[in-house]
Amino acid sequence: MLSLLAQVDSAGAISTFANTVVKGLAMGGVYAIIALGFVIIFKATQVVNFAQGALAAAGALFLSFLVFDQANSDAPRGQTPFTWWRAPFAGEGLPSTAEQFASITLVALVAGLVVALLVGKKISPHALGVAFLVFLACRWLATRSGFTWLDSPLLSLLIALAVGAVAGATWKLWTPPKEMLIAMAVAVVAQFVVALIDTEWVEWMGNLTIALLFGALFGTVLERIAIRPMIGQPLFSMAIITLGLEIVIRQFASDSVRILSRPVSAPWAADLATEGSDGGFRLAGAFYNWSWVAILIAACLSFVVVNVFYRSRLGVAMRAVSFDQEAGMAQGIKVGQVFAIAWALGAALAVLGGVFATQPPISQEGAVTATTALVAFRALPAIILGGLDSVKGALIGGLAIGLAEIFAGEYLATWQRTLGAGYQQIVPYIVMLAVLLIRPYGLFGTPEVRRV
Amino acid sequence: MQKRPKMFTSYKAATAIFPTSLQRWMAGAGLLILFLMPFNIPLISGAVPESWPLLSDIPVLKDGLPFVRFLGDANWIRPMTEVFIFGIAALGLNILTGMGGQVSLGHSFFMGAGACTAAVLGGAEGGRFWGMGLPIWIWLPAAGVVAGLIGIVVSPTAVKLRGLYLGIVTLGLVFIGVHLSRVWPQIAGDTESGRKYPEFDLKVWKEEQPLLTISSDDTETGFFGLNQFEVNDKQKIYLFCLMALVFMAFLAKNIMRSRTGRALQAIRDRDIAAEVMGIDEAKYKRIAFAISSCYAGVAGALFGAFLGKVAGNQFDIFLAVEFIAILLIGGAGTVSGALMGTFFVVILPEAVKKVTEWLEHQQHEQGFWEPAANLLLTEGPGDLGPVSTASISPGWALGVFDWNVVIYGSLIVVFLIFEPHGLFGIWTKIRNYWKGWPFSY
Repeated sequence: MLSLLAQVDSAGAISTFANTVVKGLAMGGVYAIIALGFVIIFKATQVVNFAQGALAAAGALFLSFLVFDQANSDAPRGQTPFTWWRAPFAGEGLPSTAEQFASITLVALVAGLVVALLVGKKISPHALGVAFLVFLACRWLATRSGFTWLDSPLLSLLIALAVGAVAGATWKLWTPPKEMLIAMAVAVVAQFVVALIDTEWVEWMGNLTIALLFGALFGTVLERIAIRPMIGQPLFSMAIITLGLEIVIRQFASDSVRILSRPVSAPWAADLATEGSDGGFRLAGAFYNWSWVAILIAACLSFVVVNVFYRSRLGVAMRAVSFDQEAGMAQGIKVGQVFAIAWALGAALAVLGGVFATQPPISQEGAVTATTALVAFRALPAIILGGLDSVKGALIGGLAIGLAEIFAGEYLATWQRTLGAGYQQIVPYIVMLAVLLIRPYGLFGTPEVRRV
Repeated sequence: MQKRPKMFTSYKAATAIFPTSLQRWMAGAGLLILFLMPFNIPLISGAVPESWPLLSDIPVLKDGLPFVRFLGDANWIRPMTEVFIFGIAALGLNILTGMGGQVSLGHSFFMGAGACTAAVLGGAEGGRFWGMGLPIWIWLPAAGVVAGLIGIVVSPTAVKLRGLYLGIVTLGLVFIGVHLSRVWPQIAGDTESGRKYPEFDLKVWKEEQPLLTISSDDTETGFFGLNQFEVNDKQKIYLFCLMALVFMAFLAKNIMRSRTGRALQAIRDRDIAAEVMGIDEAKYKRIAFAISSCYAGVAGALFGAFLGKVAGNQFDIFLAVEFIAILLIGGAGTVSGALMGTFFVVILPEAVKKVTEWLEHQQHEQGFWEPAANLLLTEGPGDLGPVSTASISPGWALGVFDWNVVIYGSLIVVFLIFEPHGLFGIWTKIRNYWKGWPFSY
């Protein structure tokens, strides 16, 4: 079969074409994943979350800390960010007894104050439970090499108490629905499996799960502190708030990778790559990167997951809220909770997209760099093309934009002198402009009904 | 009863540029101070001489007005000039976004368009880059006109698209603009270093000796041949940009109270209602885009001439976001709000830098604020200080520039949540409090 193909395709045109298609689909897959996050948040809260790129970078950075291999890195210990967290508690190594005592008193006072302020008079069992779980999580994290700054148990305690206090204060708004609890339980079980099997792949997947959970938590917190107070305000203000968040988060994230980029150590790059294969395989004379395959699988999975989610009870609630918030409330839907979950899901998808944005074809480095956050801006044309509120549109728009970009890069390369270096990155915007003039609400977007 | 605020007896009085006499006085005094600020004039920015017995005894006024005193000195002239230039662009965005309600994230694109026009029309002839060597009275208005025309070309999208769709499309313009500057280095200059921009010197045509030199020192001949009045180039550029800003601000005020301004505000408040009242939405959106881009173009041209060299990729999304920040921090929809926001956002980096320098000084001299300095400044990995004074900051600590970005990012969030009307809203609250003082109503 392949030899036959080789005979027919002596000039390599077909294999180049096939290769371009797969590469374009992979590129589009990353855009589609991020676009799905945009769409979920937009559908629920009517906000275009400009902070998506920053969330992507922050999540990818978090993953890179999880998988950070101290032995193979020449980054000195002091250069890992956040060292100042542990500085009040200890210098290098473990804190002395006296330091521990002093710190415990301090932490207890501060935490007691926080708890008293937030929870009021009674301390809910929820808060204690969450605090305990977070403490365990912190201790577990501290064993990972990227988290040496968590060495101090006191710091874990502080974090646990703080998270517990917040959780206790806002428990009613956060109560996770059954679906989410099941998802979390699956993630926890997956972690045990990881601990049992402990091969590179499974461990990385486990780390990815944790990074996604981190993204979800981050998204929820952002929604709680910045978006929830803005409900009822003009949509423009809400969107610009996310722009402000994006600026702040991205600055912190890009500062962490300014000197050294941080590898996310994707297993397909480390495991499947043999000598000279360059992290991919050859098929009919064309080179296919393993990360392309991984992206395509991830994009399909996220599309399926989002669709299944929208069919679940919670998903139906979310669609109802996006249709009419007041009517949803009247039906007993907790709108705040729906908002929180939409942000959690959207942010998790952003993190997934961010992790793949460190891989080819978006970036050749396989590491988080200062430009990782910009991938969301390149995915914006995808949601505009597909329509801001269409899940199907996000997937198709993303793939179309990716294909357009890669095809332009491959087949217009002879005009590079006229078009200028890097012209393919502009193609998505031009496609977007062209489509918008014909269909103002994108291909699958719902046109706004204007009533007098 | 004449002095009672908000009581107008005629339509003309209600739509005056400064409806109350207090506003007139404040604007006049502010302008006077701004004009005299760079000259070290006693009582404003310079020390009061001993021979003025009464005034030299007042401790607050002894070295000039507080704030104005240091803003007028040589270090602050350039940031202040930048405030004026950015103020012009912010006024433009204010007309489009604040008055017309059209979200634009592409303001830097129009600024870049104006800058490139100025560079081509006014740039040196016969060099590597295109240049015609025309005088300022051609390239400055032309920058506005060309940017305005591009704005008109873009405006049909604003008629078709609403809200955030428009914002994202204009965001796309910025990326396309930055790319175009790379494609045509003859116009925009090298990708990294840019090209030399024309100078401010006022010429009739292409003659050697300018009518009025602005971009160079002439302390020997003096200003307009007045020997006793020495003015250096920085002060002259300051004055030129201030005059440009004043002109543009009055223009904006007038647009606001004209038929166009009222139509735009109607479209902002409820577009369908505006249409029902007979306002041609497409036409007024086109006008808003044209005016806004024209302002941006003029600001871009001034910005290029002010910096001397600008690379095309400086007119990027971060600049566009900066203008959104200016508008939101200042308070969208008002001229004074836009100007306050510009002052705040543009002076902020300089202020943060100065504070850091001062802290560093305190740390080294072991002054009173040394503990604060030790807490804030980092001395390398392991130190808990969040501010790093080094150009590259390893670890947690962010550099001074990063802190600027973080601060204004957080300010956007904080202002939108707590004070949606921005600095102007704070000012209104203070004013209203004192209006009825000591009664609450």
